[in-house]
Amino acid sequence: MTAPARGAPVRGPLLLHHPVTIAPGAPVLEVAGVVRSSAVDGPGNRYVLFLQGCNFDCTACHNPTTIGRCDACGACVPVCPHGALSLPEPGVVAYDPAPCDRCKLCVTVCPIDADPAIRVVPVDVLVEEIRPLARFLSGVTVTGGEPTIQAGALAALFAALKADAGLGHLTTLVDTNGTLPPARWKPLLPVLDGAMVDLKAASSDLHQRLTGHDNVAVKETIRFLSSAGKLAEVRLLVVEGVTDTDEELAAWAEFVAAVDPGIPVRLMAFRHTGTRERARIWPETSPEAVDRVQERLTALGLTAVGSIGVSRR
Amino acid sequence: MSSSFQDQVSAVVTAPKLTYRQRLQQLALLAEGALPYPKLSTAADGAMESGLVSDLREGPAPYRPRYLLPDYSVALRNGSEFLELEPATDLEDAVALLEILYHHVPSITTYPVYFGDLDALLMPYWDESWTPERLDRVVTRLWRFLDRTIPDAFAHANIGPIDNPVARSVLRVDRARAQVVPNLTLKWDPDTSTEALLLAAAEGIAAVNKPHIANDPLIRRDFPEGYGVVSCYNTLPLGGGSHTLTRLNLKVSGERHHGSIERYLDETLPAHIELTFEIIEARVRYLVEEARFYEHSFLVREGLLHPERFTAMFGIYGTAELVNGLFGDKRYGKDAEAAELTRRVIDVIASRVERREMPHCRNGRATLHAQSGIGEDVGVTAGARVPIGEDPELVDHILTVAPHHHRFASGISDIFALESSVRANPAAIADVARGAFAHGMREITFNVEGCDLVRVTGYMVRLSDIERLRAEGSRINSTVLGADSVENWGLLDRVPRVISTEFDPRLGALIR
Repeated sequence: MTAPARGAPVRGPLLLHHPVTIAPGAPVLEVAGVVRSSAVDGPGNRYVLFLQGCNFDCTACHNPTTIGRCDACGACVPVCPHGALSLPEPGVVAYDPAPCDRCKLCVTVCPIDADPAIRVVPVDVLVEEIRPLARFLSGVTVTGGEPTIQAGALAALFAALKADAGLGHLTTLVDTNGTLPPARWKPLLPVLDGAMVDLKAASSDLHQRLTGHDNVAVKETIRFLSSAGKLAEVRLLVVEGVTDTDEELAAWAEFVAAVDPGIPVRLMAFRHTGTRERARIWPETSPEAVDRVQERLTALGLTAVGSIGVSRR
Repeated sequence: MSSSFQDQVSAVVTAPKLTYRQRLQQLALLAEGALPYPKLSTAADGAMESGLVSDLREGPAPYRPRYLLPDYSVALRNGSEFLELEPATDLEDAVALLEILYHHVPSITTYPVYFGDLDALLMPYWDESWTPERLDRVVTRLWRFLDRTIPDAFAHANIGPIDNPVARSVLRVDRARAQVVPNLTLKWDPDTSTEALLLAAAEGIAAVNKPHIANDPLIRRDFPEGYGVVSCYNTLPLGGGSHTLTRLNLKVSGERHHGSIERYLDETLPAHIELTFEIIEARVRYLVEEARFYEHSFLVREGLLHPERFTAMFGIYGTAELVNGLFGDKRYGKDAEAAELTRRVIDVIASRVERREMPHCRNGRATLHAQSGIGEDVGVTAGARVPIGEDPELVDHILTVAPHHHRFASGISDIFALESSVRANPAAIADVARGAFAHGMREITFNVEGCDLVRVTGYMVRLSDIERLRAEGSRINSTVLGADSVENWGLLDRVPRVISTEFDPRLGALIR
């Protein structure tokens, strides 16, 4: 998804910092990062899990190092000054968290924008990670990357949370690009409280230009989740002169209103932080532009519920 | 009369930036300061002299208690013989009566520090005919009255824990007016408060950094007779208060010690605690036995105050510097060993305060208080807080300080900085407060980035007022203190707590 990058390095007493043992067959998630306390990923204070890997390659991506999934080319291994990376066998880059000081040289040399320092974490370890924070939280939001690529283990995580006496109050949300087909959403729905779906453009051409894919699947997902009562919100990344033209906004509003004009719509301001060079051709989105889009979409009958990433002075 | 005394008086009388009332107060301070201090031992004298113990410049001859929490409901019900007032007849009459009473309540600041639990005071006069709009008009006028006549943000109103129309009106008006005065506390009880009341408070915090929130069931255990939150997060008995607040500087205490940690806990610290007791006792005795405040106050005679409900506050501060200094290589807020030593230090002090007989005090005892600092403190951290700039991540920070909170009967505070993104999601603030109380926090306070109204120690200042202060002087006394704190403490440098870490580019570095 294209939500702005976030997250100071985790400093808490995280299980995630330590090597974990994985039982054979246990569900695991490829985790790129966590934020233990966030006010911008759904209602209330939330634990946010960033999963690695995305099937889009959006120009505007704020978390580009979560896009690629390491293909073990090994380019990063000799670059690491701390000896944290190795090639124990062909096809595997091994990462040792102990010596790593997060200098991220590995990421800068990666040809596919992957991060070798991601962790493969069993679902039950994540549950224990969340437990001590539970009384401070409204819920858990999983983002990425595209979290639904790992839909199976994701469902296992949400199911474990829902089944736990001390964690059952936590609501479960995902931030998604909406490409997962309905048949694969279905097993997630019983343990998912809602999905926040990015509709990056209403016109297929523009969507293609922004993401490298058309938006047919995304639109289908929005319709499907809305009818299933699991659509928490639809998000629009406002890039001035690109996604906020009169024509585009009209088409965007027409599509969403046809599904359900009551769907909460949230605007995301485009920011440079975290993006790659090729995104910098666009200006950062001004508060005025966000206000303008909000007014426009409201006038077109949508339910705008706020924005993220707007810096007002 | 020494010429230096005359010079000081003259400087006050001719200070163009002070209002008449501020000059009058300064003159009173100078006059009191000309009197000798109550008789102390040489060692206690030395402790005052060296800054080990401080009476927060209360003055050498206390003639009114530091904090008074009158039970205003008595006067609303019975009227006042001294003031020739009839009982209140309706809600507006009750407000008018309160405004008169405030005028007659002293404190260390000369102004009242406690305006009462406004909803409990006014709800008996409320009925269904009061629309929210009409109620807001009355509360708005009261708010304007308080801010314009009692220019001191130590003055505190309380609401809660029961959700009610007056409490809601207070939150609405307080948020809309964004005033320095009154300071405001919501008493919150997970069993009797509604979630909607907590959320309404969180919306206020997101806009104006008020209210402060108090853990009602925890504090009520210490004060079954009722309590109020006043000044800088002091929790004190209703119908009583505190004769004095004298504080022990633990940073200095640690610097005076040479030897092992065990010897510090067994010998040096107890000796310093005893010196503090001596100074507290001398001040209490002077106030009660010499100045005889309680014998001539109509507030006592008419039952708004009860002398036996006054305590004395034993304050500590600089806990972090003490612990860090004793170790050398372990930091409070980071290392488990430092957290454990902090617990032991607090245990030594708290158990001695709980055991030591203190004359003229409620239950014959002083009460422990984590003192939240004054503007002139440089390089000493308030109470038992983590030093500014070293704050751990939000939840870790709360879990570091929460275990100590139950030991501080007369109040302890921590201020948590939140990024401005919570302003669009106040439910996140409510979540954090709820979690903090579930983990034993006594009180919690937030400073949300981007608000003009900010908290310094415990009181409010408007940043825009500080800008104006030097040019024009300030109508509000505490703004002067706030200006010192902002400059001396790097207050605005406190790491905005990571409730959202939006826009940090280091995402890929989150996990190692």
